[in-house]
Amino acid sequence: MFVNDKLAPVAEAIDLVLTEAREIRTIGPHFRIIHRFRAPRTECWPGEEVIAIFLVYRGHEYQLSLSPAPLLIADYLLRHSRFAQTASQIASGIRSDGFYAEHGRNAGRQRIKRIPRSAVREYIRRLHQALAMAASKAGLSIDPENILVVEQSVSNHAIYRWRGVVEIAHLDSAAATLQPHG
Amino acid sequence: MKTDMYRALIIDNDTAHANGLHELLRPHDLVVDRASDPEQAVLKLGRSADKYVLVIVTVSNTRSPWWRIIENLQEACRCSTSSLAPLFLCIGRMGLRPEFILRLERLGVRYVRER
Repeated sequence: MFVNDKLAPVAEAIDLVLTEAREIRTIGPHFRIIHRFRAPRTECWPGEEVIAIFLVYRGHEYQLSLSPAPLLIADYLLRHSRFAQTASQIASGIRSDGFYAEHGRNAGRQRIKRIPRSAVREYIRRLHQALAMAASKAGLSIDPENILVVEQSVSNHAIYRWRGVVEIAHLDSAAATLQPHG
Repeated sequence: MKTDMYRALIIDNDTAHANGLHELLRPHDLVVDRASDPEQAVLKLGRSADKYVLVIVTVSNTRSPWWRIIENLQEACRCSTSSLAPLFLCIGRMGLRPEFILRLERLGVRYVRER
């Protein structure tokens, strides 16, 4: 058997790992957002609840350890990852979006009080911590600040953008008993 | 990613085998470094892990504590770069226990066995 034959599986594995490294560096890692309490035949409508966000690496899910308010900010940033936004834009974006205003209503939950602009920076710090913990569990050594990127605008405001591949999944446990709102 | 700016590190004590791996990396335009033992590799990664995209570890025997060796290599990467550390690929030249492979996978290491 020639050396090349022996190493053929290795060549394929090298291609795979380099593709993976390239994707993580250029696009960012894969995140899965889980929503529950959706109404029948709807997706990402007001009334649903963001229950968890996972870092997905090599088919395994690593949950970001987050309380509800930073979970909402993470959901918002992941779903609006095309734009870098200031703390004011994040706060007003969440306030004006029915999905967050009615968060969890389908399950009769009390909605989260509004997220003030002044709290965003602290929540971003917690999101960086949660990202670092999840990446560490995954055995993926990444800088959380290269994923949830903080940059300075020309007018010296911090602007935030979350890099990554985003997937939204829905749990349908309560769907059969729910009706769409609005 | 401009791959010509990046490096791969081969950790292999067998020169002929390492040369075979070097050949496989040629189409990827990576600068390839070699360390003949893990200690040398820790020094290289500790100096500039951010330059490496890939670390290939040849598991040449079943006596060495490979997962501990890989933990040390990953630790060296974490200490020297705050951005994405290189991904690890372990190459087995002999049959390994599934428990061993699972343990490697839990470290985020992809494992492949030669034919």
